[in-house]
Amino acid sequence: MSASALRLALGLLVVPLAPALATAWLHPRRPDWHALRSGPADTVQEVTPLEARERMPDALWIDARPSENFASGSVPGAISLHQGEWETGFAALVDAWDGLRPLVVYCGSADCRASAEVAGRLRRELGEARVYVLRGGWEAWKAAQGGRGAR
Amino acid sequence: MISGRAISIARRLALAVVAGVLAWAGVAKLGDPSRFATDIANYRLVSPFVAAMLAVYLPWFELSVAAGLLVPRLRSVARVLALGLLLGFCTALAVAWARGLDIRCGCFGDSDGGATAALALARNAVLVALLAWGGARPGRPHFRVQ
Repeated sequence: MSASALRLALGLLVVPLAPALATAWLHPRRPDWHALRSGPADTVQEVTPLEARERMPDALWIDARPSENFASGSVPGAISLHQGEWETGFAALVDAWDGLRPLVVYCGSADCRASAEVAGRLRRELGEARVYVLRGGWEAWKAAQGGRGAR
Repeated sequence: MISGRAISIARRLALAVVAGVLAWAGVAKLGDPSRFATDIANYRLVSPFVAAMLAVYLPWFELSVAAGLLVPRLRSVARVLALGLLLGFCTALAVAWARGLDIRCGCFGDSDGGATAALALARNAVLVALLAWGGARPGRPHFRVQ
């Protein structure tokens, strides 16, 4: 590749940096940089199923899994809020939430990240600090119930 | 005989199709960078922070490459970058497929209806073929009818 071709390639690689920086800084749906830098665990506290039951029995549960998983079984009274269907789920959450109950978000298991992502986004969009992530997710919740799933 | 001019036009059209697809992909993902960051993170190839940085950069890079494919002076360079981009996507999709990860492709934001890895790989293979053919140097006519 000639020097001029390299310069052109560099140009095509560098030019997008300016709008990308603007997106990172100003976009209303930009990633939560603070949470990403410090790690989800530092900003969104995790709770075990037992802690959730004992410390916040009135918690509103948020299911961050895809809707088909939610339909096949979920925590009783949970609201489905998958990132892919955010508008619908968020509207349902706003309807159901009185602004007083803590929110506990869960996804499939300890391996998924959806609950931390959804919890971070809820903190940002609702301005609510009492958003928790269920450690171990749906699998841990079912195990804590003795293997029984709701619905 | 298919004239050299017709083939040349067809090659440019092939590159224009790839440019259009890349531009569409870029614009579709710009609507929700946070969502795209999650999609990238779900591939489990990079940390969430790197995924977020890629999520704000890649859509603009796709637009930049798409524009480059339409500008004669930038076309050959843009073609190489587009090939790199598509092969990178193919690698990520293939790794996800091999690992058995049931994740969204994330290729076109919300507008791809959650395409599977196999479908996305096939789509990328077509785009790579169009890029390769569209950028080939004109040679002797390929088809000759007596």
